[in-house]
Amino acid sequence: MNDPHQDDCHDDQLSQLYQQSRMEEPPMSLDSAILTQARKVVEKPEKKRIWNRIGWMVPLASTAIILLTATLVIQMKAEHPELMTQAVVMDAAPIAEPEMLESENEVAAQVETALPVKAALEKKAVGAVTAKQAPVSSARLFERPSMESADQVPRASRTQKPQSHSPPVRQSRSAPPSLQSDRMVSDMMDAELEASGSAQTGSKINDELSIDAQLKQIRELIVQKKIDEAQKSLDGFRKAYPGFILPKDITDALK
Amino acid sequence: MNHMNKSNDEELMLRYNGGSSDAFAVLYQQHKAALYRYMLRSCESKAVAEELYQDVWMNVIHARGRYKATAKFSTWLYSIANNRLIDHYRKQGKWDDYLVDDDGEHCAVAAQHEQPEQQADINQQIERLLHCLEKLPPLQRQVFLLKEEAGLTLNALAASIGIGLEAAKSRMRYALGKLRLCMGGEI
Repeated sequence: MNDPHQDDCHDDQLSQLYQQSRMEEPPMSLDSAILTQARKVVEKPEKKRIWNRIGWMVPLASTAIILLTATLVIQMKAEHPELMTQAVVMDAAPIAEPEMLESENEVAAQVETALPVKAALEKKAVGAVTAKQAPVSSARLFERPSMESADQVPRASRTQKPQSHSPPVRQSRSAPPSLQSDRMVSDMMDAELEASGSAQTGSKINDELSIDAQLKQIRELIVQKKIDEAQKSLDGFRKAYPGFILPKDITDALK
Repeated sequence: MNHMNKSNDEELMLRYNGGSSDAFAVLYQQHKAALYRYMLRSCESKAVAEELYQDVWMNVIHARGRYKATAKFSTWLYSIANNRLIDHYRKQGKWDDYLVDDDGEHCAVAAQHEQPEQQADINQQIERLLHCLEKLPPLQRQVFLLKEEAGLTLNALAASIGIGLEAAKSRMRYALGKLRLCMGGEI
């Protein structure tokens, strides 16, 4: 026990004896279980890391997209509420319809304001036509309102343009500004005329009937050789319609 | 334990943390027997020792990210093992027994009661030593095993179990004294 090679914290003999006792080993099953687990844990993180990256990226990206979309919609609603209502209309209507509605609403609004000056515009239009264009223009002026009675025409149909007018509206986006303004003026004129026609259809029909009737009456007097009476009727007609260009047969007969 | 590769333990652990399962296999091969015996001689049964042994390695595997090369791997490994043993003793309600660190007489008494006949056979001496070791108070047995099995120096084993150097020396002195007494004239 009092070996010179041993100090108070070390005993060579005990240590050597103990070293000879070191025989036990862990069972193979434990070894394989631990090594398998060690391998699994190291291999898994690779997949886990990828999944972790994807795992938080996907919901983050989705949330960002949703927030961005919602922000855009709210901002658009605040800045352009008309676009949002138009988008709702687009769901139920063909693609061209919203554009038409928009332009037609504008035209309708302009027509509303333009109604008081309708008569003046009409007179100008009549006065501006040439002798050749006169029958066509007058026919155009007086035929349109005669198609429908003012009382029977609903507001929507008053502002609604015929199909043939829709293409220029669609093309107006790509057309030059001058053409656009021309089209707008012509569209306004059409709309004004349509609107004025709807408002004063009764008077126009009466005018048309009276013009035709008076001209017919004048012609009948000419045929009956009642030249004086025909001349009187023509003078009365001229007073009533000073800008109206008389048919050639009447002017020739009453020269 | 193969002390030749001891200097590589830290590197192997870092490589394993980097994803090399082969590094862990080498590390495991170097430390498995010593740790197994350490657990075996610290526990009341082989089954419990094997369970705790597996738990220790699982802790090593899962705590690999926390390992820093500044600490010796064996010190870190046996600190995990000691913590696991402490948990076990606490759960078993044997924590007070584990804390016994005084110079109790039970080892000497046992030695007196089991006074062996003179045996020249080395195997009998080994059996006797293991028996005496088993009779040591846990904290004294712990320092003896850490020195003999893990090859830790007094400084390292003190760090491993979280005590001061002087406390470690004291426990070692008591442990050796009791073992010599228990072994009687056999060594």
